[in-house]
Amino acid sequence: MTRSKQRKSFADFFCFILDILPRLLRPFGKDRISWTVLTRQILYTGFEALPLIGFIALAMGGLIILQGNILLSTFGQGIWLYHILVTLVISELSGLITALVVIARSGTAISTELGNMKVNQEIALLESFGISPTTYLVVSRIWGVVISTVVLSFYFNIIAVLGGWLFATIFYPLGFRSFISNLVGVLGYQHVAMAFLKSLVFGFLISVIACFQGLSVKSASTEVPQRTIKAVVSGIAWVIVADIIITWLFWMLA
Amino acid sequence: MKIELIDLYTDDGLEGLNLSFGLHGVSLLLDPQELMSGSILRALAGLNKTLAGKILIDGMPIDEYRIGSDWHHNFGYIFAEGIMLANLSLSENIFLPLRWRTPSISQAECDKLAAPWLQLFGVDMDLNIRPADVKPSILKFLSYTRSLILKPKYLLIDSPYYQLNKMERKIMFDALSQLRKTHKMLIASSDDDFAGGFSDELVEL
Repeated sequence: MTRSKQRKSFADFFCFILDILPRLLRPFGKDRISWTVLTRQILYTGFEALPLIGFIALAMGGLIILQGNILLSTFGQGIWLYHILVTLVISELSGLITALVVIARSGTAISTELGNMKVNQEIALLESFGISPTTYLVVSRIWGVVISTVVLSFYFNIIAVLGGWLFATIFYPLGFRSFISNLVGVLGYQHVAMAFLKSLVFGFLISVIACFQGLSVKSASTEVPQRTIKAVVSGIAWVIVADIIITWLFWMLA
Repeated sequence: MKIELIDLYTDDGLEGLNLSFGLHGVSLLLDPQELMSGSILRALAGLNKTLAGKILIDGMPIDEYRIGSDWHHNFGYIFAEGIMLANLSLSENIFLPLRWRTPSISQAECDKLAAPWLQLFGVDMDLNIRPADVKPSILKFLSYTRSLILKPKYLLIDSPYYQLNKMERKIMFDALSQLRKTHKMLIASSDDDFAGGFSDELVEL
């Protein structure tokens, strides 16, 4: 891609975001979102991803406790396990892994679906009836993905903590109440706020990028997989950049 | 209604087109090579990009006319292909624009509105299946139903015979003969059936 094309693509992307933002903040006006699209998006992105997220979270929580215990118990520093669990899982991994799963499952699906809709003139069909494709298809999907990502991230944290406790009981008898009270003692509001903010931003970025790439398909079906690849690559890059910025902001504020 | 296209260039192939015609009853854009008529309808419906030139309706630029005339309520554009949203059922597709405009409308009311049009096109089938499971000609008839239940005054019809076999063409011709009594129509076609006695104004491209 030439530099001028790259610049145009960036400009188009930011124009796309500027077009969407006011509509996102007014989802129930005359130009309203579609409940059908929203609920189906939550079903596909959120509900259907629960088993995969649950499995990864359980494994992550358990493995961190397992590895941490091997390392820290040698020095009698068991309490640091909770710090590791909170810092690594709740502040970092939950948002990031959830985002990667959402990109892999829903980012690709949204981009492909919108690209095919463009090729098959379904977008033009909506326009012909005075239905805004941006609100009907894009804004509804963004809300669906954002809600799903926040819920999945929260779910990841709960399962990872449970996984951590389950694995911890392998090494020494540890009551669930004692485990949770130690964890809550370490858990600060900033960890919860950071996890929430990250999942919110990640969900927004993933869905906006996927929708933008999908709608950027012109007329050939061969463009659809190309745009889907771009949606995945850009999605991962933007999520990591946002992760660094948010972590850095919280670190500055702490 | 008078429609004027002045030195019109669009992104789908119109190059410096100058054309003027009326829309009082049935107007036919007879385009044997099918090079321009579809693009003209798309330009009127606002579905392609005008690169240069202008479209005037009764002397008013079309963008201004659209704002002042409640365009989407008065004009129904019907694609040559029976385009449907692939992820919705046929029923959801047919009633999507209607439900979008009147969210409180019940399914019974929707069915009542659609029944005469489905009968006109001879469609009697389960509408809870996906568009992928249906013949293109049936999708085309359903797309007419979808537009007609919105009660537009003007119909912009692109290639009415496209994707239809001989028998289905007869159904379409009979249906349009009925519709010409109640609707004003601008038809883009390469077929002579709509010339002669059918159209009130013939524009040969």
